[in-house]
Amino acid sequence: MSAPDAEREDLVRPLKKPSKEYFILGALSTVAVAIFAVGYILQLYHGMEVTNLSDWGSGGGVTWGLYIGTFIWWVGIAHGGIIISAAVRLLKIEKYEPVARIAELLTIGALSMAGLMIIVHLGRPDRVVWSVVLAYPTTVHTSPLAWDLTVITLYFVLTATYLSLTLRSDVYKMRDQLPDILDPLYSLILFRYDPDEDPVVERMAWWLALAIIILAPLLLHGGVIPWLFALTASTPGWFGGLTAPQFLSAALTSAMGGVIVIAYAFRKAYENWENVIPDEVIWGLGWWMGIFSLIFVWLQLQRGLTGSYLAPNEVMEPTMTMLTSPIYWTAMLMLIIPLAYVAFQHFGVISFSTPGMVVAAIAVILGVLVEKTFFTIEGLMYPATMLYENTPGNYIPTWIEMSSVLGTTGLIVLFWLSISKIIPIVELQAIEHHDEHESEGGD
Amino acid sequence: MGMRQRNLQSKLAQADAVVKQRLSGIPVKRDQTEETNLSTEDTARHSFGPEWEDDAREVLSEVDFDTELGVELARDAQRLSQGKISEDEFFSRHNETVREEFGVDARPTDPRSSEPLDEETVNAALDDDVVAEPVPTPHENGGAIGGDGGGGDGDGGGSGDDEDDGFTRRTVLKSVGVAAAGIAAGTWDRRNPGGIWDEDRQIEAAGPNTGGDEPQMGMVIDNDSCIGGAHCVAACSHENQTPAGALWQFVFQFQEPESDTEEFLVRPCQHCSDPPCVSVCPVRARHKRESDGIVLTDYDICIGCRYCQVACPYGVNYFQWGEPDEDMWRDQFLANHDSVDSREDKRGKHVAGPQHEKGIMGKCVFCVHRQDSGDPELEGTTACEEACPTDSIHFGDLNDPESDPRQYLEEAEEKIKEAEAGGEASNEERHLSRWRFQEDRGTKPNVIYIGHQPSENAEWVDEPGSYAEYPGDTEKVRDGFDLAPSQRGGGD
Ligand code: SF4
Ligand code: SF4
Repeated sequence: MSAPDAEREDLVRPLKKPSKEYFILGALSTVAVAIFAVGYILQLYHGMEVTNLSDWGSGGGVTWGLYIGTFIWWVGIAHGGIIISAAVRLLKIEKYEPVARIAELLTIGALSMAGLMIIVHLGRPDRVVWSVVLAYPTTVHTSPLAWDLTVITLYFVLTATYLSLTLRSDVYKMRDQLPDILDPLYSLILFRYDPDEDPVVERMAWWLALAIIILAPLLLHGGVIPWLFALTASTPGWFGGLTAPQFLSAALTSAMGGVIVIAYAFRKAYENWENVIPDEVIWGLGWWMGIFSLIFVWLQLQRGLTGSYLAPNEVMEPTMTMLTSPIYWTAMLMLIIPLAYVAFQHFGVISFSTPGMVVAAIAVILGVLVEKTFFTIEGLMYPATMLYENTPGNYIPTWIEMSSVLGTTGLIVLFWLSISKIIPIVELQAIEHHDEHESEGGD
Repeated sequence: MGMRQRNLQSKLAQADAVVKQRLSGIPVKRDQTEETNLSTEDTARHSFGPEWEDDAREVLSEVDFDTELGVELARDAQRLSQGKISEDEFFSRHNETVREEFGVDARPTDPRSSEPLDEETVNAALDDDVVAEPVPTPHENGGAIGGDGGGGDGDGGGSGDDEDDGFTRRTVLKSVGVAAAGIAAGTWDRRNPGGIWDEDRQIEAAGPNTGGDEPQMGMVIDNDSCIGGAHCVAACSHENQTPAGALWQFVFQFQEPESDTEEFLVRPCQHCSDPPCVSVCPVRARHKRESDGIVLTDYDICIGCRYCQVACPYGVNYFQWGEPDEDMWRDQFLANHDSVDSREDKRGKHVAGPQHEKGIMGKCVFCVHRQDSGDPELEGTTACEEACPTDSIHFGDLNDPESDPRQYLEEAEEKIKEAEAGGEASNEERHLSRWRFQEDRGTKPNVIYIGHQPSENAEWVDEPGSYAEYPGDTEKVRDGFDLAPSQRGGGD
């Protein structure tokens, strides 16, 4: 890297006075959120009939649809995000330190959106806390949905602990450069902070990272979330041992994409940020995005093949529908083309371009959303009880359902706009390590 | 593939129709449903009517080996599995007869082993040229050994792949061996449990919740005598005041690919003894009532996640998608019977009647308000049972040998025995039997069916004027089913 070094100055630049673009983006997101809010209020008022969901069986519809697809999508981005950050901290991969906190924040935001999607999906959201708490001691033995709530909570706590621990020393060191108006908040963050705690915190963060890395394939997106589906034998399209690895690889793919998009946005928005998050980081993230989408595509191939060659009827049906559906192929192409793009870049066939990588990342993120929603719908369209096969019915989400994607995306943008005005979204440590690199290598 | 394509196409066409129906908001026509009622009555198809017996004899007589032997062997295999006879007894009992008939007794000595017979032994002992009438293979005939007695249910494409070769003694012998082993080990292919007519099975299948002696409400439904009039559907809809499209009781009309016969399948909630809907519910709203094994939803607790609906393999759950006209429905529900004055059951839980609130789940409750009414006229009855003009639905405690469903089963057993003895059965394609719906799902369903068990290739037949007219939709408009008193009375 021959570019000028990133300075502390750069890290706190986003916390300074907002630009015009900042407000425009904020306004657009607010509109998106408002549309969603209107839709949701209508749904609360009229009931779930404002969606195009319906009873499967003689009702001919699907009972879970875009809401659940969007839930899986957000939760996947969240899980992928935390895995990225945990990997960076656990293996001390200095190169990716600039995006570690971005990944953590992405996790917090996306996880909140996932939780929100669950609430939106429920017919009686007003009852959720009371009903769940009362029954929890018994339901946690049997209901994957109860496991799900448990794990998501656990995970939120892990991430938040992680973030708040690693934030303290940064806030302490940069306090004089942070906006005065938020002083009370910083005092809270720095509650009983002592610089001597840094090495302890570092070890704690390491152990937390280890916990997350272990939990990820077992309980998080490689476990409980897909188990909601994979354990349901009455829907052969979901059932099976491949479901979890597919979820996990899709989650990691979309999370890599998410981090790329956010990193790029900050690079665009703030001066000298291409040195805070250098090209090589974007390139590397793109490479990993390619790897994970390759795994995902390969797992899809396995699923398609086993489900369509001499498979039992009940498995054959959903698989053939999948393989003949333009929606499915749209989703797959949204993953395969970026994969090819990344590969061509890597092998030097085409030259690296950051905007190109961002387009690829967006395609991948949306591809995962489409695939996950398709997966949800298809499972319910082809239940094992084939006698319902000819029941009239189809599913196209209503605008209210679609607004949930728009609205949660808007909320995420607002989240980033706000959080970046409160804390430095890149750790001090990251640029300090950069500096070390620079001085080692010389210019 | 062809079938799939056709299904997709018809799905699209029907989706179109539904959209139109939605747009127009016109409730379903009722008169056409009536047309298909008794006017097309086909009493000759009743399970154990004289015609059926004749047919049964005919089929059995055409099978070229000793029918009695097969039947006896199957019975003893059952006794063995029940511990009534020892393995030695089982083996020795028929040794001679089997030798006489097949030239070798190659039944597995270890009843727990379902290994097929040793090819060489069999080949050495048998002529391969003895061709008999196609008989379902053991996986299809569910243990009714010795031709297509009453037990051969299987799938309609029954004789399937072997059709061209006919059916050799060797295959029969294999079937017998495998079947005997399977039954004896109690691990008979759960997909096709039919043809086993022992009483204990219901107790065993009632599962852990009832402990065997506890009552387990259930149904014996004779699909074979069903004429598809949907009186039960209408009566249920009226009794429970369910919203349009929420067909707690439902009647499939289906056909096997190679068959001309239209079959019916009456489908309430199966009130499983191992209900997946209960397992997955994150709030214990869905539960199995201990006193009688009825599976219910606590309407005050349900959060409307719809996981129960996803997990139930039978598609019997109906969500309350919109705001119901609560007053009207509640009043009508309570007005149905003088002795029913609450939607709470005897435990004080809010489980009876339709869900009456938006955003929560409902399904067949075995008319729990009747069971808890304290009214002898209503207790032990359901609306669908009462309304059925052909008396195809028998509701009661499956653990009580004196109950109506158990009595009916016994009668059925007697009749099938007679039919077997006569050597003729009603219909060689239909493989009438006793079975439970999708038993391979491990749900331990508490509805026992008599009739033809749909194979996995069975297709829903859409007959104009009947099932296509069910409002399979989520509109709030009430369908026509509940409004015609003439339809509820049980016969026209
Ligand atoms: S049929 Fe479905 S809803 Fe009824 S008890 Fe069984 S699993 Fe539950
Ligand atoms: S919809 Fe209601 S009854 Fe069904 S699983 Fe969810 S909370 Fe339980």
